Amino acid sequence: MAANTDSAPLVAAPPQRADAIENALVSRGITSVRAVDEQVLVADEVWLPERGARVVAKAWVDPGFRARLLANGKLAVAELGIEMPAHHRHLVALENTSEVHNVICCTLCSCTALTVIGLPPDWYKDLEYRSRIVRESRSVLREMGLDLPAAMEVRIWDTTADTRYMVLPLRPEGTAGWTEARLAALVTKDAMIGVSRVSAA
Amino acid sequence: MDGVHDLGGKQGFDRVRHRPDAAVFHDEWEKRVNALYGLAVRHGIFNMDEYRHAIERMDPRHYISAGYYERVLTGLATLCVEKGVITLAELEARAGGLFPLARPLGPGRSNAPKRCSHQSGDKVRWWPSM
Repeated sequence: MAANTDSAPLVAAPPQRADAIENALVSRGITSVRAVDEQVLVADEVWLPERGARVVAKAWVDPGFRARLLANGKLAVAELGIEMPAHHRHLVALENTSEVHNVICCTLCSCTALTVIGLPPDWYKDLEYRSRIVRESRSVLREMGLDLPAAMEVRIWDTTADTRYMVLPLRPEGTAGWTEARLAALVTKDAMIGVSRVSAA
Repeated sequence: MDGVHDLGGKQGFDRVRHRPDAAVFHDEWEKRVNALYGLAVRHGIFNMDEYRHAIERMDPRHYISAGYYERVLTGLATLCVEKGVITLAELEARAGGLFPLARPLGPGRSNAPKRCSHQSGDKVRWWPSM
């Protein structure tokens, strides 16, 4: 980037740069304001963690679905009407147990199974999480409020362009007999990333 | 390539700025840029690998200082200019200022081909680094 001095033109702020590229693409008929509006709506109203929460709750109550989810995540979520883009070739569900806790990240970029667990939160895309979670996992999780027992194995999964992950959290105690809908309401995006656990409290 | 984007294990970064129910977007332009790059892929202007690589080609100072959606914006604009869809001059005129793009594609440099002279089955002595 050129240095900003009194005589040199200034770097335009990101909102102005964003407007510039949208207007340039629209002026050429490559896209339209309406197409962008519609895509914004999909991100805001369709790609929500409630979808992944339904997947988790079903896996908790339906052993057959759980087995299919662990065998081929992309096919299993399609049973619930959840689509994944063609370039998200695999969805791997990582099952937490009383001995193993899974966490997902994307150190190179910020990839997620966004149509299933929702778009990644801001901190997931920050340099701090991307750099530290793979090296100081327990410390980072503790700072984020998840203090895991020393005996619990922690597995960190680095997302690739082709392979997306979701954590299948442990079903909390005290939820026997709950409906899928009631269970799903407990499941957060953070729990499907693996930086928190699901609690019935 | 050992670029600035390869952040896994890089030391010295501070605490993760985590909040429960953290936002995905912080401004309307971020949503529109996120939509635009998806539409550009759908229209075949570039593919996902080119998109990710364009972000990885950003000047390291710019990469580190930019937020996520500024990186998306830079990758999108870089590829639209490189593919001849729009010119940088038009983007800067519309934006009313400079529009920094990623650095150009280059031949790169591969790893040394004969870095390790051992053959499968050789006996070697190994000790952990300090």
